[in-house]
Amino acid sequence: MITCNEIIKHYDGKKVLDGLSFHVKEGEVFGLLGPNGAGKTTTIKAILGLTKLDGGEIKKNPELHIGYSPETPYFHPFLSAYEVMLFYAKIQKIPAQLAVQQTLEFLKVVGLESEMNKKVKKYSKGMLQRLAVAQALLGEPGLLILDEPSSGLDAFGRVEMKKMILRLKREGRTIILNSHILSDVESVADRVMIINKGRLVRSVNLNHDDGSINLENVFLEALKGESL
Amino acid sequence: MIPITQIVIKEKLRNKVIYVFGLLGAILMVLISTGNGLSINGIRVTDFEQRVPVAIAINSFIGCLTAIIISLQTIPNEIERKTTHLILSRRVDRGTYMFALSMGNISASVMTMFALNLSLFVFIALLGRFDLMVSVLWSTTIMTINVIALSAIVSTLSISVPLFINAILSIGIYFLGVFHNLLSTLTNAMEGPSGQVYGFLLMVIPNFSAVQKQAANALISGIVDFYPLVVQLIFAYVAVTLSFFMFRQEV
Repeated sequence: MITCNEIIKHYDGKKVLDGLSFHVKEGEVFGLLGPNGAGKTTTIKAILGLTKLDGGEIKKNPELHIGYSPETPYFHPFLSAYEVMLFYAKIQKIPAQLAVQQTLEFLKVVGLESEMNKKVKKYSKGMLQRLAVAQALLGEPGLLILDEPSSGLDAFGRVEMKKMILRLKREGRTIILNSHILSDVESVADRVMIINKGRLVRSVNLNHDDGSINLENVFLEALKGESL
Repeated sequence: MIPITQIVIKEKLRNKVIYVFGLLGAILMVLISTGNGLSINGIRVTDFEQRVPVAIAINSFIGCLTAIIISLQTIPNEIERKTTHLILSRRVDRGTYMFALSMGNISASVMTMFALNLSLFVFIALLGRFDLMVSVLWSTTIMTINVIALSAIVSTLSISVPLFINAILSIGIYFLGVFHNLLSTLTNAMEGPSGQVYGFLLMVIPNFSAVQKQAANALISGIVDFYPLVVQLIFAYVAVTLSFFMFRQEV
């Protein structure tokens, strides 16, 4: 689906990505873990084509459509969720009839169908996060990138978000999940990559059947001895 | 591109600053159009006909300031809110995106200018001076060209220039443009290379005064020289086209 080969990125003379390489397979949920400043967001920006790399390459199908849900989503507060969805559908040049169909479908997926005519300014943080995921689903993307989808959510919101990601996983979607909540990643991801200072520290296959892997221990062990 | 422009217009027309300026314009129109309190250089101006150019000049000034306010923050806000990520990740071309935002600024600025002038037309109608309607409409339309040019320049600068510096630059460009003819005369009177340097600098400043002069001609005689208007529109076109090529390194 997508392969990053030795990608390098500098910001103000500081190496943020230091020869990072990984591969995301079709249909898997790929967890991206690391301490603050590890290079997770830069990796996502590089995949999305929002930042120019200083070295290495990202191999992906040029036709690959990527859906992106940002960590702190902003939507025009005077629009309703329904209007937000139609706006992003129009930008993607999705035909009008299909846009309405997908809008209704994905707002239902994220549990916002009963609130879709409410102005976004009246939305809670959790509702905004769910709307961000819904807009990312427009156009049926081949790859979904969820950047800290549980950021700022209360316990109830986190449970809802986790359920939603599991639902998307069951639908066979390929997802890159960037989160600092280890338990959330552990319960939904098939594979996890731990990075620090722009380098790959460890890659772990999570076997959900036997529950033999404790991600918290793996994470702490991987970063043991690393300067953070 | 059109949905992005539309959303900018919708957002701008919700900006309270625009309504404050609109209200201020309406109050000024009331003061200028009614009563007999207007006095210029100590001479009382009693005829409505004589007050109209003053009203248009004030509206043009407020319209240009509003265009600066409207155009200053749209693009920096988009980058700060990271709306850029959501748009650009959908394979929208960066240049097209910036162009669409600039067009939104220009459209909102023109709409505000129209709203400002609306109160003037209301007073013309109330006073039954329908004979002035066409010339005032023509004159205000010409003045709108300045608003278009200013909004285009501010929008394009806002892509790369920090907000505060852009605000100062924009006001500077506006005032230099308003005094363009005067500065040209002074530059022509200067001798040596400094005169040539100032002359070159003036070439990159849009000539707002030339457009204002044609707006006055439209009002007084109805005879308009289209050359300065076309030059100003070319300025606006070049400025807005530059938005295709300018972009912050990081979005």
